[in-house]
Amino acid sequence: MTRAYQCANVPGPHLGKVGTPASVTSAIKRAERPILIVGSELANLNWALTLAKEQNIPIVATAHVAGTIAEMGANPDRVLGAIEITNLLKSPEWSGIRGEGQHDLAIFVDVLYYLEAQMLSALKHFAPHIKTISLTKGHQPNANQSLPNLSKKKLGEFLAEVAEGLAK
Amino acid sequence: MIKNERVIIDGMENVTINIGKITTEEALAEEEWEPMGPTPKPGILSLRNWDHRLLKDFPPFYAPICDMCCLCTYGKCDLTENRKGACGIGIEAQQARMVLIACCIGTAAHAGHANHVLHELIRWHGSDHPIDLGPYIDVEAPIIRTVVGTIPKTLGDLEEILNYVNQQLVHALSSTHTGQEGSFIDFESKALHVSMIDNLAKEVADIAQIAGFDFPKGDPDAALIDFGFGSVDRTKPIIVFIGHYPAVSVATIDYIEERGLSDKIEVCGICCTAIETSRYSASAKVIGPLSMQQFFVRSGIADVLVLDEQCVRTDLLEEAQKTGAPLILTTDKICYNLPDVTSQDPDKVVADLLNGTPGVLISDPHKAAKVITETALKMKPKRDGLNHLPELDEVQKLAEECIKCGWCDRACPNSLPVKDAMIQAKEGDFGGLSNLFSPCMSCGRCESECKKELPIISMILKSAQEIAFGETYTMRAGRGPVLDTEIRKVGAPLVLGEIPGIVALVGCSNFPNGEVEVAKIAEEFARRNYIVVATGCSAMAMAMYRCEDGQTLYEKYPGSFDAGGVVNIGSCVANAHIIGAAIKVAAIFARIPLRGNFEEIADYILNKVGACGVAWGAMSQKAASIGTGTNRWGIPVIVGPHGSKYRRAYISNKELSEWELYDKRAGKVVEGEPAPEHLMYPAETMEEAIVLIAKFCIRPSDNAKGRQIKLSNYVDLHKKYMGTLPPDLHLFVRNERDIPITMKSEVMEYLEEAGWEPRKAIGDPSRLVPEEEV
Repeated sequence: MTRAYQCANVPGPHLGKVGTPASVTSAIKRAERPILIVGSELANLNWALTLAKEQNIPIVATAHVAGTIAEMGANPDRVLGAIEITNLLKSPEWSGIRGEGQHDLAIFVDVLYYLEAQMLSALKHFAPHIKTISLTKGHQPNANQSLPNLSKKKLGEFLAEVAEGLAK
Repeated sequence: MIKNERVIIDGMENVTINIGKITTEEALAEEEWEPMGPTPKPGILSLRNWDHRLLKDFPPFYAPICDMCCLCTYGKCDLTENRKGACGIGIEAQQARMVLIACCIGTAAHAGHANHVLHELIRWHGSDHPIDLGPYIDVEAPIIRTVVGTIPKTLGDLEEILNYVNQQLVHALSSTHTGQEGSFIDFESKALHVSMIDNLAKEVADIAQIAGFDFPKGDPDAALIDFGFGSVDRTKPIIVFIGHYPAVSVATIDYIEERGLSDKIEVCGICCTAIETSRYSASAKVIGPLSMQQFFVRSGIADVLVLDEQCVRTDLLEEAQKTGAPLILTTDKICYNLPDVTSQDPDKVVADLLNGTPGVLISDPHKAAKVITETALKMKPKRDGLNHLPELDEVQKLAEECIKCGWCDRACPNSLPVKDAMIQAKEGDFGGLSNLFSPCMSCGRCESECKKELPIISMILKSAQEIAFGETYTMRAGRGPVLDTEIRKVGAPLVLGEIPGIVALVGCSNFPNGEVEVAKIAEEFARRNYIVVATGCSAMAMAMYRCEDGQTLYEKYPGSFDAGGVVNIGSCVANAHIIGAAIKVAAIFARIPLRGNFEEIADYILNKVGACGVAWGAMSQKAASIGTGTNRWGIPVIVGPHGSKYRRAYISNKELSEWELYDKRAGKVVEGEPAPEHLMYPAETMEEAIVLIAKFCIRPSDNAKGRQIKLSNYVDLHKKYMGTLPPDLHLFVRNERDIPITMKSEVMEYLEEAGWEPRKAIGDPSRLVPEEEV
């Protein structure tokens, strides 16, 4: 069994699945209103921006990531704190980033590991209407699907495979 | 006629008169200082309506850190997917219950401190010892006045207040027992209540300390204290105090001075005892906050280690033994299975310690002082020449044992790159390990996880020795309460917004990126003419930084409670004075009676005093109660990202919330604004926190000039760190007069795009709607 990246991050009896590039790709393709949440670790920001653009997925920048994105000549759809966006995703009545209805899939990239663990826990318990995928470095047992614990290189390959799968 | 100790009046032999209480002149004066308000000595239910009003605007957001409840023998109970525990509890109530338990623990720690120090000081000085906070403080106990409704004149008067504290704590904690409260909102109300009691206990503790130890009484020019590893003169015997309770360090300084040994011994401290000791003697050295504890003990510099209570590592007996330093415990909080030698002859205890007894417990501060000093003097020559850290070539050899499994990175709370640093060290490059010194909190979880049992903390310290030992900083000694004269000066500009806010940096040192971020936050706001105040580990963390001109923050900025000041209030318990300052704005500037009048005061602070607490390294249960208590007074708090592990935030839902305030001047409910937007919020990065602090200082009472100043800071900081205008700017601009003049065209352009429409500023904003209008 894959252990959480921060090894004591064991929430309880119900743990999410370890994703594969194929399962992650499939979940994103199936989603009707996905949302991409990009955090402060900035490890795979380029990948996230490209995915958002190519798949037309709205992007929320947490922390001060919007400043970095602006330096790269782009803009996120929304700037919100990590807990703020989690709170919005919890509310069934929220109409989503683009006003098209609450999202049905939240994809996390580069949020601070232990903060993301708490965000995912909140959604697991209080947002049954939404599925979660963590593509941040390190396994997150609170996500429906999360990466295994991968080296930087392997993580890059995983993400590339997801992008490739989505492009097909 | 007097017969058998009874007074008999002629003609009234059969009439008995019972006298309940004799009213003295002093008691009459007490009754007259202010009319008693509605809620003196509030119980758990007394302020419940206020809590529910707060929680309407700032509902709890829960992020469980554990999906189960494991508190009774029915359990473990799985609370996922709407499952209930065997007692009927659901996941939200369980989170709120755990928060309440944390707040009770935090309150108990401060109340324990208060009980402890008060009783010791009464033993030293007697219960009639006066409380005198000097000529510039008339409102000397604002929390006690507001919550309890009394003015303490002597140490003995504080005992009655602690009886109330202890009683409320018992009631709050008892409600967490299995099978009672089932509402998360009411668990939260109890958490807010017991945390207000925490604030009260801290005020009792610090007033007692100021009166009993003659600490500074709000002195803006309190002494600059030498700070850091580098400040310690290692040629002298070195005593290090760790913890929070200053009776022993104070007694030790007295003992040393009485024997003319002041120039011959170094007295140092880590964590709040360090701040307290420096409030007593400017010659005491401050090593640093809690995060420096393991590093400094490992360095082996201490000849005697003295522990008192709270926030002390539980393995310091083991760590002290590694360096050969005797350990002296001084309170019932930490016993480590060591013998209690309080009643033994101190000379014999010293002899035993010198002969290898690893440690003892001495609960009498004066006896402990003698043992500590004499042991340090005699231990120093025995320890001279010992080397406690590995040499660099040994660090390299140790690193060569590393198998690159990476569990050190995964065990680290901040996921620091320990493995990569080890790989570098194998090649003789110690830069990676050295770079870890600043962000590392020296918790040692990496060592516990290491399959090769490498002493990673020691390796980091050795690699960073030039950084660690090469620098001496300065920290202004904790000054204690804010003066009434200072409040008179800043009260109006604070309420009108012309001083943009009070930024209070408090709490522990579980920082996401080291101490430097607290200093940077302080510098950002001091430069912008906010009033920056600090206590505890944050006050110490701020000292470990030099501004561009080479000065420390305490050297560069004045210690007065005024725009642009950087004010070290004192230890954890002294942070009661920060809440006290907000209360005093209501009392002195707005002339609102304090006595038993909690709701009106808290409502005033929430709507009119632009203050924001920042517990960037919040770690402990004490920080939970400090923050939650601060919230009940109407002051928002930002915690660092680790604060998300407290399981609960208080946040508005700005896209779904309706903001309603009562305009006391107009006598009606009106459209409000998200000011403050959240009450307890974990930020992800320092940059995000800085932007939020500026936003959280906005208040509905700001006049146009004040709002311009606050928005100017908010917009400027948002642009600096986020690259754009704030996306929620339209929520804070009431009309064109609020727009900073230099930003007018770009802000107007933005507002037009956002579909903004002007609205009236609220004349006298409140969250308390009169009953007849509900």
